[in-house]
Amino acid sequence: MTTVKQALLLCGSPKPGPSTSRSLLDYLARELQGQGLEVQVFNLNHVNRDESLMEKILGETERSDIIVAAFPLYIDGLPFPTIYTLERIADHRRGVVGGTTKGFAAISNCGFPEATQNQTALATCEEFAREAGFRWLGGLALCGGPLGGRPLESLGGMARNMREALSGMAKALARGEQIPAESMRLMAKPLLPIWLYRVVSNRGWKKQLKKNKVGNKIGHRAY
Amino acid sequence: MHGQQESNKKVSATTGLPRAVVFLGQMVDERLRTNLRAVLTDKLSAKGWELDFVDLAEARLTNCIGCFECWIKTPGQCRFGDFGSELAGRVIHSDLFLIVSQIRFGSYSSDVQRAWERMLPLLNPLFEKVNGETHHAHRYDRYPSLAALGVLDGADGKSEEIFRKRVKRNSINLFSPSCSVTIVGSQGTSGHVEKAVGDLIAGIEVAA
Repeated sequence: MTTVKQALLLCGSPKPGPSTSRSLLDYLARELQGQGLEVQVFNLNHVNRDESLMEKILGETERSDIIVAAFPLYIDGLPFPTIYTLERIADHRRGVVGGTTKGFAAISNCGFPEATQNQTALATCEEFAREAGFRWLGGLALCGGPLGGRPLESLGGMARNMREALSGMAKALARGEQIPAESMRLMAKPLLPIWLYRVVSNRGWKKQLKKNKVGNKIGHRAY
Repeated sequence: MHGQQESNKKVSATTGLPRAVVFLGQMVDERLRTNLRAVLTDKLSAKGWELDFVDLAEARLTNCIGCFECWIKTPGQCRFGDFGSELAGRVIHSDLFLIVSQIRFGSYSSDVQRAWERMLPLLNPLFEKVNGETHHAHRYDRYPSLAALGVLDGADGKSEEIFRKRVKRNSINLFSPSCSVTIVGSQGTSGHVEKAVGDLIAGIEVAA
């Protein structure tokens, strides 16, 4: 067992405001604190325009035992602020070779109802961990759309699996262990049958278009 | 050079030649980057392609912030209206979308990712079933073929595998009629570059 005292949580959502990634990390932060860890959370959305923030993150990376990145799936991969930050961390740690006790884990969320669509992004995270000299502690894949940045505690039964998954993840990370398979299974579990998810989501998109008075322009070609 | 355009120009009137938009990402080795550009230009021009190079080292564009306004407020158009928006127009009016990127952890480098993300307005928000999976619907009748040339530091089978999967998945989401991927080592000689570009071009098919 590894002694884990400090965790660094990186919110990779490009959104300036509340996000699903931040909701997941805030819950994880509370669970890790409950396990006695000191936790820091950083938003990465403007990190490419704030070098002092990047320097702080690089410093905290070296002080932390566990690093977790959470992000939405963008074009089948990590969004720009996340991949940019991982590039900078890897470059900063160039030359660090095996034997490290620092661990890295990730949480990828996508708007599709199949959690498997996150696999390529999580494989990228695993490859980052290897190149940057971290132990890969595994990844959680969430499917089925945004949480609107709301706290998981306020979402009742809808977020029960997510809360249990993150709770299990926090306990494992606090012991320096890999994310349990049960956490991965719970996080990947869809809320609705896939066909129904598509129907409900499409109704939702059309409703928003109508609300914005562009209901008849859904297929508009700007180019 | 024949058929080559400078970057940052608007979509040109059609010349009758098939048109390729090339996203040229930043690389550790500037000489390799210059060589790749020259070999791509020679080989694609010789095959009758009109080339539109986008030098991402010089491009000024913001990343997608996931606001979804291009889907629900101004359908098909990004709120930023910057160079990234212009790029989406150039890509959708091309026959081939070619990405040249340093591979980072099996992914595109961040500058390429930033430009790629701005293609979101080319899709429709509605979900549909494609190849047994859920994807966004198409907004246009015709999308370009996708090709990617990844530059890899050293031999790294895992990174190469991830990169190939990633590009393949991108081609599904972009409704590309074909997908071609090739890898060249960052220490590659001119011969390696020539071969990689040749392999890439051999895998490109364009919809009629």
